[in-house]
Amino acid sequence: MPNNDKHIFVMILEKLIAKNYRTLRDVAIDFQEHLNIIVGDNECGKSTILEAINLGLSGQLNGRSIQNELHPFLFNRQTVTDFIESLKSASPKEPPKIIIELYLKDDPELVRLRGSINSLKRNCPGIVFSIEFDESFSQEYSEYIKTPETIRNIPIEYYGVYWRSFANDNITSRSIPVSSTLIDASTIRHNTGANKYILEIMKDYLQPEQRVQLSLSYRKMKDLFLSDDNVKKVNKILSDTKGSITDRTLSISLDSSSKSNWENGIETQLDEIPLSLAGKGEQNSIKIKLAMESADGANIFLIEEPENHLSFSNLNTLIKNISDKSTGKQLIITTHSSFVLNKLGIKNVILFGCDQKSITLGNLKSDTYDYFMKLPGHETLRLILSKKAILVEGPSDELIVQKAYLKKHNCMPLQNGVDVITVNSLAFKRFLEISAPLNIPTVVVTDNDGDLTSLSQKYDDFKNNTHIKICYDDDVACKTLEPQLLKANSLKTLNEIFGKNFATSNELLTYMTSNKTDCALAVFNTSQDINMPQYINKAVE
Amino acid sequence: MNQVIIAAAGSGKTTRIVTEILKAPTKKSLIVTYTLNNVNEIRQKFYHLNRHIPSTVTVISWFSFLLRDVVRPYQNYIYEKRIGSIAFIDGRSAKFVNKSNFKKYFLSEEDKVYTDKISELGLICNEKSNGLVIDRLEDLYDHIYIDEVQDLAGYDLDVIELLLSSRIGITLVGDHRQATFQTNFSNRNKQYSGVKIIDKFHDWEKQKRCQVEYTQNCYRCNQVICNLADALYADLPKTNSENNTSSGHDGVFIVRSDKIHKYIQEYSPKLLRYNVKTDCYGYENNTINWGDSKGLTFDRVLILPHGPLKKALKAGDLSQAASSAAKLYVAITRARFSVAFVFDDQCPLQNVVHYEL
Repeated sequence: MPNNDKHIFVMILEKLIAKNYRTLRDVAIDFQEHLNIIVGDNECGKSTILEAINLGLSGQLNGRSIQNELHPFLFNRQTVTDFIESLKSASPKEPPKIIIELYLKDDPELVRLRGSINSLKRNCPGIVFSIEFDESFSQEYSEYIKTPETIRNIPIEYYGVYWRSFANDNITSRSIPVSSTLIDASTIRHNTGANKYILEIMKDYLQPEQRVQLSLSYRKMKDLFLSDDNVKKVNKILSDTKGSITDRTLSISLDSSSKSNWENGIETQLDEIPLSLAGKGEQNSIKIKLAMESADGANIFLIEEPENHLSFSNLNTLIKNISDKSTGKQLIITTHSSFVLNKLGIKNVILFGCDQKSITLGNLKSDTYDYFMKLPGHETLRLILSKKAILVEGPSDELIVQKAYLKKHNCMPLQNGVDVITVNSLAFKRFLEISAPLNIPTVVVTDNDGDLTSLSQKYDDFKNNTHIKICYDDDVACKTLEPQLLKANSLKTLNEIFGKNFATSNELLTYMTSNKTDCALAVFNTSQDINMPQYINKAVE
Repeated sequence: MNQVIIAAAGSGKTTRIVTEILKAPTKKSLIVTYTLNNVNEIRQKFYHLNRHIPSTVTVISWFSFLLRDVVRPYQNYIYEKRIGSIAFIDGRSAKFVNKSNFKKYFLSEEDKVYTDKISELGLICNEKSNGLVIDRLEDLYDHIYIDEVQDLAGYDLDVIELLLSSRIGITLVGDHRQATFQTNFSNRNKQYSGVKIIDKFHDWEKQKRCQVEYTQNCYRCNQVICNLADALYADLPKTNSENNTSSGHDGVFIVRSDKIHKYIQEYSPKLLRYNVKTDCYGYENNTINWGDSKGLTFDRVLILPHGPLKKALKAGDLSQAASSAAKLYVAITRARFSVAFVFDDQCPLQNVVHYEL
């Protein structure tokens, strides 16, 4: 670098906009400067987010140039269906395009990428990667769409890949001052793939001179092979076949094309065992550590599910490694593990819902944010990942709700993707602040505590939210779960269930109140017919 | 302070620019020039003087600069679809289209921007984006050198004016005496086209936007040749030759048409004609046009005159060839040692030697 000043350049991805790329139909995600943990349900497109970022920064998909990987299934299925349907209608749509926009933080190193050529018309450095219909194929295209009934897919043959800066200039991977490193620990396609992958990372780790040395030694070895007497004999025999097989001279040699460099002939070993044969967990952790170690500060790391194939203690070590090495780098991690979430910090979480909306906890009210910072985090993850959630205020409520659900639907709530989560009742609203923007249908089951006015005031903010339901009983005489249970059932039934012989309702109630969990467990386990309080029945509908 | 350097032919202006840039290697410098030939020449000069082009230096042609750094980065303030390239226009494009018809006025059918309007479009991009174009240029470059500035015309001059008032240091280098090309033939700034661009430079100097400096040393031509060239522009400072080498045949000569063959055999001059219609006495295939010889250097040239030059030679007054002064100036100043004219009459010009008479 000719510039000697102390400017340390870190490329930071501030925002991703993806359109029609696989599951990402129209997605906008904001990222934080250092650590980002994307949390979301399976099939939401978490890994597709990482894939899209990597594609935008490297032009590569699955480690190969996108030109070789172009296929119609890169397009969002719904978009394709809509497009094909529109061709049969009176108002046909233009051929769909995939757009991946990467908005970068302004930096003197990135001025060349700066401009307003992006869908937000924002003046900042950035990259637009697109797969678009190439209009020079207009003639062919018009033929293709003449019979829309026969069309099943996008005519990808007429598409081109465009890679440009926000200044509208064509770019190559050289024009982007840093690269991204995608570490996909969740799948290892096949052994040679894994090997190649690690070699890629190793290549970055090695100094240029070391790489050249390796390459030279490899070439020498090849030359040696050809000068070997046995090889010479074989070639002599082959050349003697001249005339019988072909008129030309047949011989063997080592592949000396540019593609056959040392990377393809070399394998990585771990304690003298080929790495591809080592445990998957070990492979992952090596991949991640090597990658974090090798690249300089200006790099974006995309790590997919670091917890995969790792034992708890190994994960602990790895996560510590990631958080130690992440200083001055931008990390984007997807995870299913609340452990990863807790260790790396809940403040960095990006919640990505199945409706493809994302929120960061940074958008939450600051006291709510502080609350979750202190929370172990497990409940948060459960809420985010649930299709539907029922929030209850204690273990006994949880058991009763489970029982009510079982009675109603003949299965446990979790089998239908409904998660019953016990939350401190004071925190109900904080959880609703997460489920509201994510559109997770959420039911709150709460005691009325004898004050209906303050209860309805408390949830006033969510009154008009169709995804959120607040269930409580209007009878202020029965303030909590236990009197509600008693109200719904006879003294006899409950005595039988608890194996007691209380003479009065009051005595029973006193027993229930001081043995809440035991009673709830008895209710949960009983095979006897038992009525559930009305507000709980409403909650499990 | 921004500078305009009027560099006499052979004064080593490319060397000067490149040396200046190499002295300040951390500065982000851009060199823009109209012709691709000159882009290559500048690049070669870097390789010659420095073995490589520093990573802080960009050498680019004028149209590429306008398209890449001026029009495209903020073009969506006025037009969404990417402007892919330029449409070369010799003359004026879309003459009868009103500016309100944006697309037709600026762009060809294939969304290429017309070369006579690209500067105008760039100015609009900057205006509509509230100066973002200039902001970006200021962050990209510390200094912009525009070489062969005399080739610029029309709205190009407005772009330069905008650059002159930016934070970027600007050096304009050129020689209006050699205004043989023109980037475009727009009506805009017509009063400053060709050799008259010098008036614009002086206007800018009056407005304190820049300083105008004449470099009078010529490292190529000997003094007799310099004097002959200077005679074409009597009002300008005289050129001082730094070439004192003698070759045994130095100065300005008149060669009769029947002696051409012998002269060529004896001295191997480069033949320079006005244009394809000029009588070349059988040497058509070995000549180049005056205008095309720009930037080249030869030991000797043999100039094939067109009508106006013949009259001027007969009168002994080169200013009579003023209509093609720029091209003639270029042709004369190619030679290190000798300039000869094919001419069958007496020439009363001073210091002219009639060959073999």
